[in-house]
Amino acid sequence: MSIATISDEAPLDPDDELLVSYLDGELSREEQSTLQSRLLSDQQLRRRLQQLQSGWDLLEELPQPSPSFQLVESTLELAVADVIREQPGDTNSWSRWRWPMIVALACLLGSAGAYAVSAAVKSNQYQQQLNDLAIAENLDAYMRGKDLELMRQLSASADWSKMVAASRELGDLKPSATTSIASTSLFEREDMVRKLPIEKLRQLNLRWDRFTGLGEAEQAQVRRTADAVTRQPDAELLLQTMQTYAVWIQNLPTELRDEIESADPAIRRSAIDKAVELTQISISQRSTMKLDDETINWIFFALQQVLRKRLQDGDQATTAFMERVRERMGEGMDEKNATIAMMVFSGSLRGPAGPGNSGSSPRRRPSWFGASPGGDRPLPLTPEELGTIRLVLPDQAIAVLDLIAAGDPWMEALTLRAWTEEAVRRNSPFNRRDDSTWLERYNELPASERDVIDLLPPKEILSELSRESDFP
Amino acid sequence: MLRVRDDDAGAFAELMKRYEARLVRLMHAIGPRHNIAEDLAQETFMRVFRARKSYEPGAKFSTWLFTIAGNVARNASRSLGRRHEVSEVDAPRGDQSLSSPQLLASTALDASGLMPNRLVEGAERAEIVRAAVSVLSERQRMALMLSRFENMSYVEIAETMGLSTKAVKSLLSRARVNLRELLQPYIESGLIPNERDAGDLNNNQPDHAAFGQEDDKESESSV
Repeated sequence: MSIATISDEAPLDPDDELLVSYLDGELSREEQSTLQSRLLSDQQLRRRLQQLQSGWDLLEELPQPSPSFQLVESTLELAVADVIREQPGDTNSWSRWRWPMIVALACLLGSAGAYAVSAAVKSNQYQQQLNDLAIAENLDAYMRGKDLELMRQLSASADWSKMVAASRELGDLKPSATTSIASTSLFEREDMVRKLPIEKLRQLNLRWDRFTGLGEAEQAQVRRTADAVTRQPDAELLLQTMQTYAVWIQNLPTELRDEIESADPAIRRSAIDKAVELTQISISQRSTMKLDDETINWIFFALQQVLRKRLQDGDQATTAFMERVRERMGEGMDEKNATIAMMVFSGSLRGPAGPGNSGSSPRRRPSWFGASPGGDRPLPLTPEELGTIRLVLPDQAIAVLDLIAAGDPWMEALTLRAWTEEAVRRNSPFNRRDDSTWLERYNELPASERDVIDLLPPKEILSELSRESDFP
Repeated sequence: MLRVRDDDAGAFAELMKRYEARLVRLMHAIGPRHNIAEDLAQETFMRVFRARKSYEPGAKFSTWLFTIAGNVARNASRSLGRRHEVSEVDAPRGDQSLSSPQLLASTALDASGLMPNRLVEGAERAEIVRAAVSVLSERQRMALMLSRFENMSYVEIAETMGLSTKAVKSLLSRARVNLRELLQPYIESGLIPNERDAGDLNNNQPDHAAFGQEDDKESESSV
């Protein structure tokens, strides 16, 4: 392939010449105006203009040489040698140049040294900033997950792993680090950051601001943690656990968070167990949002069968309760649905001893597995009855249940109870879920209740708002 | 420059610091080889120093400096050309193993669509632009560099190169058209991103001044 170019003497299209003069700002006002009119109507001419400008713009790519003190210094030496050579006998001339040259050389060497030091300092600072950028990217992980031993214990814990897997199925506990600066070499980081989409860049910028806003001691601590992580053999797994932990812990009640971060290993261990259970409960409750109408209908159908069986078997508490409802509420009230609701909600955690209200682990509460709430109310659903409900679930719902429970019978029962509550709620005549949004429900609340809700973590706010509108 | 003329060594050092990087860049573009750009810049400074007594206060220093630079580059090209004729060795221009035309011809394969498309990296992009500039004629290169990087008007370039304004206009037009022809295939094929949005007339207003180095123009004659 030959590279043909227009020589200095070759004829040139007058339009090209005109366009170049226009781009160089060398046209008179009148010529400029005439050309602009032509440009407006002539697409081909516009294209030629753009192409000429593109080539011109690309000249910016030519490298800009950095200042060379060596060149200046050696040229000065040559100049001095020149002066001496030109006038060997003229000592006055040399003496006139000698001291200024020496001073100039000394100044030059001084400024070269200063430049080199300043360049080295700047370069070091920049390298440090590039290093810190990778730290800022995972700032929460390094700040919250600085206890590496704890992180290692968590990543080895089966309960923790199950909880994380189930949460992720529901779209939770996903680390918010969306870039991978740490895995990009220092040389490529600047380029990588430049290419980040604006949204990620904004997120990174916010984290960077938070990092630079820390005191020097805190920054040093975060750097030490990051450094310690990179030196671990299981660094990648450790960082993933730290990222997840950072997201997880911020949704826990404050007192539990404090206990988890306690220096006492026993308190810490117990708090983690409690927090994992709370999260599992939360997962099982939030999984109700994934239930479609078909699943809900099947669950409600199974509940009706459970009630029928209890009545057939002559379960006294259930029969008596249904009778009472019929007597007190009169005709028109669906006593069967009311009895089903009582069976379902009498075993619920949503009583006064619900999550966050109880100091003890919910797993140890006996009422969860069918113990009588006492009095003349129907018994909560028994494990056998929950088994009946499980049998009618569609395959898709079974898959979700298995993922959440991960073979843990307690977690499966917990989730099934939450699902039965949801089925009752959606079949309730008071259910307004389809009628109003969360925002509308929030706005309808009295100011005092809104104040309480405002102080809750985001996920609990949604949970509370769902509750407000559901079964009375 | 007046202080240099009066044997002020500090002023000479100051002058070199101010122009050294710009002169080296010019020599990279107009000199016969890249690896002697600094040598040519030094030779230019030495000529300025030796001719300091003949400097006229009315003359703009940069015009004088770049005139000398053009002569130095031209002499070097002639000198290397003569050596080339004697040795019949086709020494590559610069340190690269491919000459500029060879580089353009080989990378043009990419641009022609015969090769899978890819976006060239910064250094490679710079090399393509450098190669495109280096296949221009010596005078086109000189006019282009003075216009683009020294922000000189046609009149100033004409004065520096000892040409008429009309000749400079022709040189710059040819240089720009040549650049367009050489680089457009890369832009169109996406190998080099087109940083300028097409279609907006306002974007194409003369923007020569934007590339200027006005601060360097200040008080040249007082140095």
